[in-house]
Amino acid sequence: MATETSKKNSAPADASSVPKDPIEHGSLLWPAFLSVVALLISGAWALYDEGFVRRPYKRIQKDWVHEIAPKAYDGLRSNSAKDSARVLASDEYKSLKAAADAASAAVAPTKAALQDELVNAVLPRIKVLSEPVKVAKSEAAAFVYRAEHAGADGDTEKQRRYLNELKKVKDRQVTLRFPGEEKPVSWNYDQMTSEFTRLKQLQGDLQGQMAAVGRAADEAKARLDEFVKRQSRAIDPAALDSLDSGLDSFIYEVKQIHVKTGTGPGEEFVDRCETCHLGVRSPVELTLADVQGRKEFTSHPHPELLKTHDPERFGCSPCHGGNGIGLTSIEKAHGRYKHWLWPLPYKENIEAGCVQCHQTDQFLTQATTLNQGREIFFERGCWGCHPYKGFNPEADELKSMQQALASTVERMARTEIEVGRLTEVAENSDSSPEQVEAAYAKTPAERQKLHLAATERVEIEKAIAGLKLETKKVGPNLNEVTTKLKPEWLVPWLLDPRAFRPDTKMPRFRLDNEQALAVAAYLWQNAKPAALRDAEEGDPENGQKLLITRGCLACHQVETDEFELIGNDFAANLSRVGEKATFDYLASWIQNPKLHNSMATMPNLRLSDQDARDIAAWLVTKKAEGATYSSSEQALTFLTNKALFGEGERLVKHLGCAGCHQINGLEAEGVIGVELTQEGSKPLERLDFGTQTHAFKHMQDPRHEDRHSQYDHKGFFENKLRNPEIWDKGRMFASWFDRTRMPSFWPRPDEPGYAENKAAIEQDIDAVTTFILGSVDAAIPPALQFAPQGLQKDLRDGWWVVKKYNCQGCHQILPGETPPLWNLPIYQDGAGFEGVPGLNGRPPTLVGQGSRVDPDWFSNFLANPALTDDPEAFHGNGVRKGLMVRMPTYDLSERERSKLVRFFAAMAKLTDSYSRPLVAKLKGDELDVARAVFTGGDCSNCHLLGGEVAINPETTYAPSFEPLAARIRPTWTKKWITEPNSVIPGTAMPAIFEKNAAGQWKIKPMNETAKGRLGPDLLAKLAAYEGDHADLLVRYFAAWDEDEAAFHRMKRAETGK
Amino acid sequence: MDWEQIWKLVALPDNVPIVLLLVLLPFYLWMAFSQAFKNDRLIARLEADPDLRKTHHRTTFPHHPSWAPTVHVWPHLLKREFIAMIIVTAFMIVWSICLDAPLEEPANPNLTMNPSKAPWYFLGLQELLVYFDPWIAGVVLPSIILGGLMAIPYIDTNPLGNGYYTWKQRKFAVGTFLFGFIVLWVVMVVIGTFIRGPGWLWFWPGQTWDHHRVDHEVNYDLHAYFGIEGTWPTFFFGLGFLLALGGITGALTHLFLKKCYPRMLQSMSKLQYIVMMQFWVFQIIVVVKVIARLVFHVKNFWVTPWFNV
Repeated sequence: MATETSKKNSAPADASSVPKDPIEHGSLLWPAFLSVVALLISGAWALYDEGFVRRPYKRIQKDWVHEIAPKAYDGLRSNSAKDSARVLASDEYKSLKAAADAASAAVAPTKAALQDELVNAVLPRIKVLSEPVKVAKSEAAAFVYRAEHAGADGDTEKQRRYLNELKKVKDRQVTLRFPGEEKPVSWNYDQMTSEFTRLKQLQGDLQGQMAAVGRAADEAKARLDEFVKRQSRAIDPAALDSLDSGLDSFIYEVKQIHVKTGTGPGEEFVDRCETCHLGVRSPVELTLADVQGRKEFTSHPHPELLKTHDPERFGCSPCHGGNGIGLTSIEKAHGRYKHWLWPLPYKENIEAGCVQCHQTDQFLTQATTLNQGREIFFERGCWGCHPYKGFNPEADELKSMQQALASTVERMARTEIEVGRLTEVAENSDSSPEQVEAAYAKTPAERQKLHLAATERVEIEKAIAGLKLETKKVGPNLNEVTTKLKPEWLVPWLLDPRAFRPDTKMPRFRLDNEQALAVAAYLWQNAKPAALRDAEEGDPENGQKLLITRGCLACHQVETDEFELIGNDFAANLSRVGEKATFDYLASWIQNPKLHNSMATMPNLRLSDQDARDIAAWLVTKKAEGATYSSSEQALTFLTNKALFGEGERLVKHLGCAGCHQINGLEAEGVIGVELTQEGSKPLERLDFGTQTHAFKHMQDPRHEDRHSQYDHKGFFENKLRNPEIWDKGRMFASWFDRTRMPSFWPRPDEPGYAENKAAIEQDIDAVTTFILGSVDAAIPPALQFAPQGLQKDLRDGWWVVKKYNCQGCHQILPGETPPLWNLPIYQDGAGFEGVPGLNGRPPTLVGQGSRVDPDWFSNFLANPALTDDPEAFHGNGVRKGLMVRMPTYDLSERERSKLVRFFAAMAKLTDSYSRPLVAKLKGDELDVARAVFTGGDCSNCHLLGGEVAINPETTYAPSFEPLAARIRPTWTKKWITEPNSVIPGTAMPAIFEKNAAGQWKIKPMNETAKGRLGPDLLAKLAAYEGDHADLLVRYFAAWDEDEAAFHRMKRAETGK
Repeated sequence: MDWEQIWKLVALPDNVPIVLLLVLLPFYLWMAFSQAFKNDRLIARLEADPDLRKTHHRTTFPHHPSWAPTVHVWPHLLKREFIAMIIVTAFMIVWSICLDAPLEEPANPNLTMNPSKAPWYFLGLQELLVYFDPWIAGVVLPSIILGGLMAIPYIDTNPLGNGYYTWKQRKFAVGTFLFGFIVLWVVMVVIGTFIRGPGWLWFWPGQTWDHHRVDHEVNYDLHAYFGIEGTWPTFFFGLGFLLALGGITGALTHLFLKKCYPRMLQSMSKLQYIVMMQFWVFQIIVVVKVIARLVFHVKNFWVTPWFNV
């Protein structure tokens, strides 16, 4: 066609002279060739990209399989050989090994006999029977099924047929030949099955017996294994071999954990972290050195955490953040890019991941940084301005309770009016009979209502009283400043609290001099003088001793004459308190802090007037050298300047002082800060970096090479904590009041005090950042979230109380921890100070407290540790009367006491509710024998009997027997008196019993003096007693009363000891 | 000059098509016009040759008087298209390797992104939202654009220029299309992509896109410039203004066409003429409104109790 057209239209020229049309005749070979080549290249590139560039983990897996893992296993193998040689040579191993061998040798014959019976008599018969029984049973079951269904269909004919078949099966005789029997037997169905059942039961019995017999041996073996494991890195060469052979069959693939907790949205996710982190769940520990510094291959640093958070169930990303699916690059997988909302926190903040589930846990055993952060948040009163779920819930509860009270009172008033009206109607002679009748009918219901409301009111009032006791504020009450403070001290303090007390909890507000004057004037004029008794002089020397020995230093720090700065930073450092407070006030405060500040955490140490005065007298001498204040009347006129009151009040309200302090008239002030419960998941755009957005987007983190931008949550929190004003920089404000209000809690990097304490400050900041960073709206499946119940809930609740009142200042609560008070030089081994017997003068450990004491008694003790209202005995301890250090009275609410009691029960893992066990009374000679054991064991050498007049604190530090019967759980007593060292390692309590051949506990042989104390008569009775001495003593203690104490006191007086 | 800001916008995978557009559009314009001018010169030469004047001949390059004026689709066009297809496929593969889909975080209805932008090809329409009521910018104007595009074959019945580039033979058609395409679409897309930052504020290239930028800009309705108040006075003022604007635009266009393209006018039916003029006037009014807003801060021409234009 084309040629036709061209022929028709072409000029009649010579065809050969016409050039060919390039469109029709030109070759496209080259363009076609080149474009196909381009297509092939791009296709090949796509394949390469898909296979390798997009799967960088393959390279990492290759490194692991061919280089890192084999070397690591080899290294571990040689280490383990060395390790095990060392462990095997140690004495403890040898003794444990000997014990294990002996135990297993002891039971070997019995075990062998049982084993013999099992293997020779039982198992062969079972073997013969099992197959025929199985066949017959399944055949019978099939006919039963068919017969049932035929019956259900109404086909009785069929049913009968099947039942016939069934009968045939059951009647069928099976010939069985048991080993060791000459003739084969012929059994039917029932015979076979009953014999089979019997044999199976026998097998179970024998196995159970073997386990029971071998238990002691197994335990000894377990102890040996445990020792080996503890001593060496306990790597089994066989385990390494199996890991090695695992490498041979390694598959290059995406290794993922698929977590599915439900079908709803957000209940399913996939974590592919182990595609690269190949050693993270390695059964043998792989340290950084083992894997040649390749961080991605180390095993999880806290394998014990993985036990409670099994990765198969929890995955990785719920705790760690990051993009669990991502594999294309390290940044993407770790979620450290703009669009991933849950990035992997940096190392110092890694514990942030715990918060989402453990938000209201005050303490987590493994999360040190997080605990520190939460503690700072709690102790420094961050919650005074920033609401945070779980902190200070009492205030809200109090508010709602007060509302409930008001409504109940109103309801009562209304009902009372109604009752009055009805009574009037009934009594009025003008009322019609119907009206009277109606009034009579209605009155009982109204009275019932009134009664119910009254009961309710009592309950609410009780709850309110409790809540009032529980509500605390971090700072002191400011309503008594005129009585408490030296006026000249106030302004310098307000200007810079850290200048006066570097470790103070009070943050620094950026006040100028004028503002500080105004705040001081407001506080001064707003205060009411406290009612004080005129305190007499005190003895500062004695005061200092009391301060050191009574336990003040469990919370406070101070520089003493004898020692450097000692104590704890839970409460104020008292080293300069003399510049601040007046003697009269201090004396009264020390004696009863609650008198002056109903929201004080400081407990009542039950000091006598004189003791309190002595301590106060010493404290007022505590001043810094060369500290000067302009205290002339002229310099202080501002305090009474009425003109400053308004400005001061405005500042105090604006800065939220009432968040931490009680201030007259500001009781109902709301919190001023932003709620932080979910601050970590606030969109980044809503964190205002101000004019510094751009700068922070390009600010390299000196600590992390891979963190090129600090424009993220971490950067915001960290830098704000370092310098609260930072985001104000470069902005112009219409008024001072528009600026950031947040005060600085640490010296800013440009302030003195930062450089010296940089490490500690940065650690604090990291800790708080971790806490806030982790405070997010949890995105993990609800089924995985932690909702404690029972013991776990008791622990969660209890830790709040423990931390609130700083129980750990004096007491050991977790095994192995050292309370700050225990660190005092006076409590060191061999030290002696003013009657404190060194190690034994410390407050007791509370590890195991739950299983030790009776819960009811414990609760009463917490309410009044003096255990008495007798004003004389009140100034002392109820249990450890000999201890110089005092268990104070905390004014705990009933709820808090019960939380504590349950907490200690939960710590001891006591799941059952407790009721006092009945203990058999002592009969006949038993009382005499028990008394003999008591005297022979010399119990009253360290334990007070109760009722003593003079107490020597150097020797009688042990608990007094006075509250013995009510205090101790009899179930615990025996373990304690027989093996005290296994209950509290290192205790001063001696073991007075030893086991005889029959496994009974008998008192150890006595020396001559002790024998003399007992006398021949009792010695004879003691020797004649056939029972267990320890059991007897337990029963004796369970019935201990004042008469017994009196008996022993008298006895002691007679024997002169 | 914030070079990083510019680079971020240019390098964003979302914006690659527009960057390509900025390069390719001038290139193809140049290519089309250079061919068109060449063809125009060829046509002029052929027209001037008395021998060839009346014969049917090829009016495009490569040219020889004896070559057929048309060639067959198969194989001559299709083999070229096939090569083009291969090249485009290779290009798309390379593109897909080098640039990943720009995924972002999961959508959060409580926190919409700022600036919140439509896909790049819709940014012109989104930009129109700045100047018109949503229902006008989002419903009426797109409908008019579609209607106008559909009407073109019925308005433009000129057979010249089929199969070859020419400017001389279709000045009005090519000019109108380029005006609509470049001014009302490409420029709007470019503004929407590169100029509109957070808060849909106007950021010149090189200005940092600051989320917290505070700006003062107040627009007034046209009647406010004339001190007219009250519902009905403003209603009639706006209506009158729009009618006058449309009338003047129409009249000027008519005079222009009459002077320059009298033959075109003659060849059009009344219906064709009215439809063409409608679309033309609408197009001009949209541009006038955009300029009035950007340069003179005029919010609306016509304010009624129900809608504004």
